Amino acid sequence: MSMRLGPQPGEVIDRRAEFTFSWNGRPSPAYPGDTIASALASCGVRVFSRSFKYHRPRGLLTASFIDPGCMVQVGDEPNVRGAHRLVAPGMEVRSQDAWPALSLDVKAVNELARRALPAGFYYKTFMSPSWLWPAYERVLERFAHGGVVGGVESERDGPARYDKRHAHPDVLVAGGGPAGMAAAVAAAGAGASVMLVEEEHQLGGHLRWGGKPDLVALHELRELVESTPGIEVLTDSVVLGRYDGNWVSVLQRGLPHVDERLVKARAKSLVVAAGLIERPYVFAGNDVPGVMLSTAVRRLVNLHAVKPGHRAVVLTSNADGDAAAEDLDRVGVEVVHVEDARRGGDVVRVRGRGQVREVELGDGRKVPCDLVVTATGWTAAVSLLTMAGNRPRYDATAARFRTDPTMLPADVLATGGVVGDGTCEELAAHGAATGEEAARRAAKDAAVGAAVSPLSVEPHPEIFRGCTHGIVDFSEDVSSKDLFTAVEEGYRSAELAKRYTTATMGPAQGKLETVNVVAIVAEATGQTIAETGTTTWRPPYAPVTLGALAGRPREPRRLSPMASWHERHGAVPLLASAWIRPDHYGDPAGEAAAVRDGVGVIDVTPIGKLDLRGPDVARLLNLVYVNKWSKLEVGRVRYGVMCGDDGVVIDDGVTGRLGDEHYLMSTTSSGAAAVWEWLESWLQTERPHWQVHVTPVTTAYASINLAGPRSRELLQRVVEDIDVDADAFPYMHVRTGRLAGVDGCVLWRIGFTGELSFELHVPAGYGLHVWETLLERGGDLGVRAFGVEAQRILRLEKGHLIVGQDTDGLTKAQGAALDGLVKLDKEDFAGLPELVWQEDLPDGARLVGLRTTSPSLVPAEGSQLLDAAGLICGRITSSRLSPALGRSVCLAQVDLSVAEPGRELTVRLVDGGAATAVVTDQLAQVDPEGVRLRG
Amino acid sequence: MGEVRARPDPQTTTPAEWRGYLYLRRNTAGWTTESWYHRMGCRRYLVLERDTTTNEARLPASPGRGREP
Repeated sequence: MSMRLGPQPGEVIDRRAEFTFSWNGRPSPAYPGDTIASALASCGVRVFSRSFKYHRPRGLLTASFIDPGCMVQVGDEPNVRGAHRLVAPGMEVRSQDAWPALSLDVKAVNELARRALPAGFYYKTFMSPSWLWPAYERVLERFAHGGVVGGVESERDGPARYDKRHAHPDVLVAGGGPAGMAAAVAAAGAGASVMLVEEEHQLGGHLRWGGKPDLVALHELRELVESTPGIEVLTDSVVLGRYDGNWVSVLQRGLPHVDERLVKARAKSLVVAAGLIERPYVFAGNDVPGVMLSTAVRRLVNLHAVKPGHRAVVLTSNADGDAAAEDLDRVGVEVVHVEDARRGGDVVRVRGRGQVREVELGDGRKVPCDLVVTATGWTAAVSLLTMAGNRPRYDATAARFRTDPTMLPADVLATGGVVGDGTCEELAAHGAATGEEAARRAAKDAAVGAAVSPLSVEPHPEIFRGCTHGIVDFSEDVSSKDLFTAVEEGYRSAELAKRYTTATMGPAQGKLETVNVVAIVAEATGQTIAETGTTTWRPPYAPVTLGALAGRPREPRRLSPMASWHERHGAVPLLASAWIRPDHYGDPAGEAAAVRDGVGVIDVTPIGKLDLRGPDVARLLNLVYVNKWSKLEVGRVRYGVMCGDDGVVIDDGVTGRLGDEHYLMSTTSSGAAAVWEWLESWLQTERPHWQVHVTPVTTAYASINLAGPRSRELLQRVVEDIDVDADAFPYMHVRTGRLAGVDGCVLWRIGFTGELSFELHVPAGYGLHVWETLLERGGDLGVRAFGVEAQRILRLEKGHLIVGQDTDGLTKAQGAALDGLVKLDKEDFAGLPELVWQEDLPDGARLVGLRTTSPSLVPAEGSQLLDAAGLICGRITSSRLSPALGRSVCLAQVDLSVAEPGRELTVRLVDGGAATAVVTDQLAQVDPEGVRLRG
Repeated sequence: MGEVRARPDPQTTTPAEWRGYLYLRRNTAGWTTESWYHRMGCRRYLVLERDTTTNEARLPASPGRGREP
């Protein structure tokens, strides 16, 4: 049956363009401007969902964004606020959380089990026996709240899109009601750039559903906003939070090409004009469909031309309740009775199963009706002010928590309903004065505190709970009885009662519930509301998707100059920090074998490289490395390990001396940025008198490692002015010169893979050229490109550690088998004291090589190691099948007590099985004497 | 980067003193002297004073630079 009324003066619907959408699979009519809820209500739908815990049927309560009864599924989007979202043609809307059907809900058996499910039941039930937990989980999953993500066809064109924007308004006005609009106009008139943010789809606030004078004022203010230059209006947008220095995040919704846009604004002045939120009344049956707030009634009637019911009883305690009764009467709803709470009237109980059938009044009379309207008070929306550091205080005369506007930071002001009451003119006048002051402060024309004369606050009776128990938090199904129980059990403060019962923790996050919770806790403890205090509002003020926080996908990638070659040759990509590296080219074992037998080339451009110049470089190296560097000659290269001041290994690499005051340092690829910062921190803070220039050159050079017994032969074909014979270019030396026509190359002879090898650093622009030249000229030598995986196999065969893989956040130098490298007789280096104490009192784990008894078993990295007593004594850190040995090789971190060669340990395998392994006497298992390196 | 603290002499320090330097902070409610690093900008380390209760920041007093207490 149609509940749509004839045209209303303030309606926002467009009757010329009716369309259909679907509700639970059935077609439903709507007009542009309808919300999902108003469109459905116009067709007589009264039950929209089922409540969270007791699965009671729920109808409209507030008919606004925070309506707890109206969360629906739209396409593949769950938890859509049905009383806010505008309907669109073809939209597919479904109810949530009502298995198997909205009308018949098996879970309503919960209702009967209510005595077993009081507040805090999660702490008391479903506990034992613990072997039933998997069963409990399956049951609880079925009852879990919320909609469905994905799997339902979406009517949108493509994937959701999100966006971000930065803004710097002089004045940001949060709230577009009369005071907010007036503030925006006045601020812009005073020369400020203004951003006006309004949660709803139109400006106007409560004027929109007011009487004729309100609509006239609304029209005038809207005209002013439109005609005043310098005001940017964002509707269907909400301020999520206010942070230090008026950094304000705004969520902009309802844009045509973007689902949500996060506007990050730095406002010079913030004007909070967030208004008032109407409070529900707590009494038995207050959640039955057909019980709604006076603002819900006025919205439905005046904005959407929808009749909320046929026979109404109104409980009123203020002018807005009175106005709601008049609106109902005007559109032909039978207002059977108006119960005036200012004269002692009360509503005791509503009866009805899926719908209001009868209401029992305070004097005992029972009145049949299908609509009960309550108007029992207002809560100021002080969230943003609380986020600005203000603690609201309870004013018993006004029955409201209020902000003292003089206790705000200089860059935050407040106006309108959130700080006081008044006629539309009074609110607008206050708004204008506030807007002007905000503009003045933004321009720094006035020092702190040209005070705006405050709005007065009307007295209001304190009406929170009647004489029966009812629902306090409609989303979380928390009743006033639950709060009393919580207090009885000892949770006597608002904060504790909230956490114990979960009241205020639902989608409305307390906007509808907090003050009632505080009032009821006060009632139960015998304290006053002022003494009980209130909970703290925290951002975000409204729900925001992760997509909006993330913005557009922006994943920077770093590619080496040889990346195109790798792609063309079938490299399987490996993501390492932001670098895309070639993991292998189809045959890592074969690539490793090629290096051991002939020659291979690997792209190691991501290695961190730092150019160091100055007279004090050697002192710096001595300070950051554990070993000694003063006597490193020009043309020599040395391996070094860095520890933090806690002695923990943070990086390793080789550093070569290219000239008297010129060195090139290499670091791990993931440590490149961190080591640069580390060096700078020493030079800038602890040793500012040292003269060292550090220049990061990681991406300035393409780096190629040429490895294998025939690598020298290949290098000779590419090098032009450097003698690379065995005697002329010994192990751990560095040379600079020309390669393949490219000047300024750095070559050093090192051995991560354990073979004769050379690392070439080529000015990046020529990297691909040199790489291709090597491959071209080495054809007859069997040269092959090898990837990161092959390199890992090779280095593991040689027992070379990888910082961060074979060491962790607790591994000190001795724990990484680097004892020989550490020179404790140095005067100072990072971590020295801790390493000295490690020598005296060793503790922690040690890095050892491990050989599994079964040669073909390659245990997973991370596998636990157990000692003879079956206790965990370590873990495997690296593990691979070695092509050279035809068996597995491993490195492991094990307790000191078992770190002896020959000790047998048990490996706990991933499938739960066990295997034995023996600690080797050396880390290197291929060519332990390093003969091949030095060839 | 956190509270500014003096690095003890590594040659004469004790475990208690060194670990105090590594891990313990005064964490005052009020003005504290902190080291900051402008990572996304000039890459300089700087010392600031910050009031941890209001997030107000100021340059530290130095000879010739007047500042209200």
